[in-house]
Amino acid sequence: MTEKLVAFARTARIGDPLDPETQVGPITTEPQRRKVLDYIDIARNEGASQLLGGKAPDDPAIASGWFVEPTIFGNVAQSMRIAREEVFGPVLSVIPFEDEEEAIAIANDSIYGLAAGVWTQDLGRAIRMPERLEAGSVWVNMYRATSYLSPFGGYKQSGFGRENGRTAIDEYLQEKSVWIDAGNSIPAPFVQR
Amino acid sequence: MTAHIDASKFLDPRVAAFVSGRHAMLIGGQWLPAASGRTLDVLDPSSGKVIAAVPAGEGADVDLAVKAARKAFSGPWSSMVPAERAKLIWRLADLIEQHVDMLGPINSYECGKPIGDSRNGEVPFTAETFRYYAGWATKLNGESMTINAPGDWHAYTRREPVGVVGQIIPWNFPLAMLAWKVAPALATGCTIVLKPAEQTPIGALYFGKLVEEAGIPEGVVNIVTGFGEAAGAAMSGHPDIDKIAFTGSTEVGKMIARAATGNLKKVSLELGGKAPTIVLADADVEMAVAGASSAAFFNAGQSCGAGTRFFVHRKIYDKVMAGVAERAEKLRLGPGLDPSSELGPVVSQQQMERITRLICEGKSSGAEIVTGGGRAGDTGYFVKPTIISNTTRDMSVIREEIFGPVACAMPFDDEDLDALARDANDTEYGLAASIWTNNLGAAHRLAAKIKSGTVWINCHNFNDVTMPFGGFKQSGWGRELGAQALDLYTQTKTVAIRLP
Repeated sequence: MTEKLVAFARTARIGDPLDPETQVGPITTEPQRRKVLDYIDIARNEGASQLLGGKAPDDPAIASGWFVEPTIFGNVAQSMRIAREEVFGPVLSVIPFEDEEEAIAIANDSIYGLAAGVWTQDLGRAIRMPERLEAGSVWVNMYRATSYLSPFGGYKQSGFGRENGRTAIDEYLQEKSVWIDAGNSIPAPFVQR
Repeated sequence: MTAHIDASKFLDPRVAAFVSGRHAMLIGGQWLPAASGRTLDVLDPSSGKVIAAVPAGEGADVDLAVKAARKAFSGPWSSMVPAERAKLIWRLADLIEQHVDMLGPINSYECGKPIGDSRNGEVPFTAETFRYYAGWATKLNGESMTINAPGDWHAYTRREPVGVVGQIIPWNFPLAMLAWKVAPALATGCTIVLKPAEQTPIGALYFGKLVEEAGIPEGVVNIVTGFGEAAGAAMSGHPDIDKIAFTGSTEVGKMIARAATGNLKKVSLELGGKAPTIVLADADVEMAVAGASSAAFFNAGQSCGAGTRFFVHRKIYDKVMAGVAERAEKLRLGPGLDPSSELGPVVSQQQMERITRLICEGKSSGAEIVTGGGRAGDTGYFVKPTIISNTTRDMSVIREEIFGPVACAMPFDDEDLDALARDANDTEYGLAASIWTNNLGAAHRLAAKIKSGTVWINCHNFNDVTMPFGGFKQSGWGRELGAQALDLYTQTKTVAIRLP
């Protein structure tokens, strides 16, 4: 799986975002690129094995931009910062597991809970895993789909509230209960019924 | 009170050309004559003259329309994503608004209602109804359930369109009633065989042109013109129509319900009414007079929610009656197309004869005519706005839906709400009611006691796209408008999975 992943990621075309052939563009800001490259260093120093990328691209045509090559680390442990902190760049950690139970435990071992993806053709697992993953969105056999039809937002430290869907409308409303006594008798004022 | 007879001088040449032109039915994206070649005449109710001929569709034409609707249901319409459907429905709403100069006059010409009511009331309401349901197309969600049984389960519901629906539209609000049915059916992904009333098919055919212009795929909306007993009956009994929706009389509603049992198609019915207008002692007399008059005479009383039984507290009875009679006598009768007309004709000779017969029956059984009391003039189908008093509970004017500008008035003495509700509920109908009062508690208590689908307080005949409308008792099955109308055109599928 990891071999195929590395081979596939290697085919990504990095370049000018205005070129329709481009698949991976630059990082938006310079400080953010520095942060991504710093995380790559931290991962190497903590003992993760770098399987792909890990630097700015060599192509002189894009040397002036804030590019980072798609990067994959293997042998990542749950304790490493690369597995715990949000890098916000094209950097992937591959973490092996033995069974569903362990996969769930690793996936949920995070202060974050925004999204998750599961790949399986097992009908039961495709429902069970989303139920158990602590994330506001779970994609099965797909990733990153969002729509105004479907609420999006975080568990845990990934946020408050949901955007999109009818849930988003609740974020901007408050509910008022109005009570009207339509009766014509005088209620006992000192007793609550 | 004078009845003008020549509506043609108010007729825009473009409207005249369309109305008198050659009409065909919209079936599977084609404009076709009836298979039999026969046509039926459409009359101007203000003159009784023939203004158009439309195809007289029958069983064979309904068959063709159902086939086209079935093909569209299993084809482009059901596979289209809801957001695309929403866009098309919204575009249709825009077109209806843009074509108000055609739709308004066509509507008033064929059904007789004052042009302002068409142009400023019915046509905008029609557009708004399509817009409201365009929004619902993307919000038809199922839900997931938490299961009680032991074990691992996942259960959810889907809301799926019912399929091919037959919709039979009345002549009193030819465009609004069309919108109440077509819009939710389109939003939910159903396909439609629509039959407008034989008296008012022209507006619906013009609407068919707008359906095409909006880009709604062929076969999604099919329009078959024809008589109820031929085309309507063929639809009600059709084995490949999954649902039938009808607005009209209780008598025909029962026939449709019986015909629908063949394939047990789903049925929704919006039928007759005999709405009470209840004026409590504390009511603002001026407001109650205006409200009661409008309740009884709006649309020449041809509204299923029309307020046709006045219950007025004795203390203000004389004042209210004098006020309503004064208003009735001042109403300017004339053709719908004449901008100065305040009250149009009733829709047909047959309706006019039925209304005047019921008034006569009331008189001969001892009721008194406060004002009006029969036909106005001798041209067209005009009926004088009429108030009847001294009625008893068994008279036909009190029991039957008159569907004309006729109301019966009854005083009451004490404000025992239970007794009042008993009298108001003393009818087989239960469509609507209005209560006129400024007493907060009495208003809510009485509203709860009235057996009808709508209760208006200090208003009457007030409809909004968000408010469900339909009948208790023999006034019908189901609710149109609001979110509830979506239930008429969807069916729920439960999916339960045992997790291995």
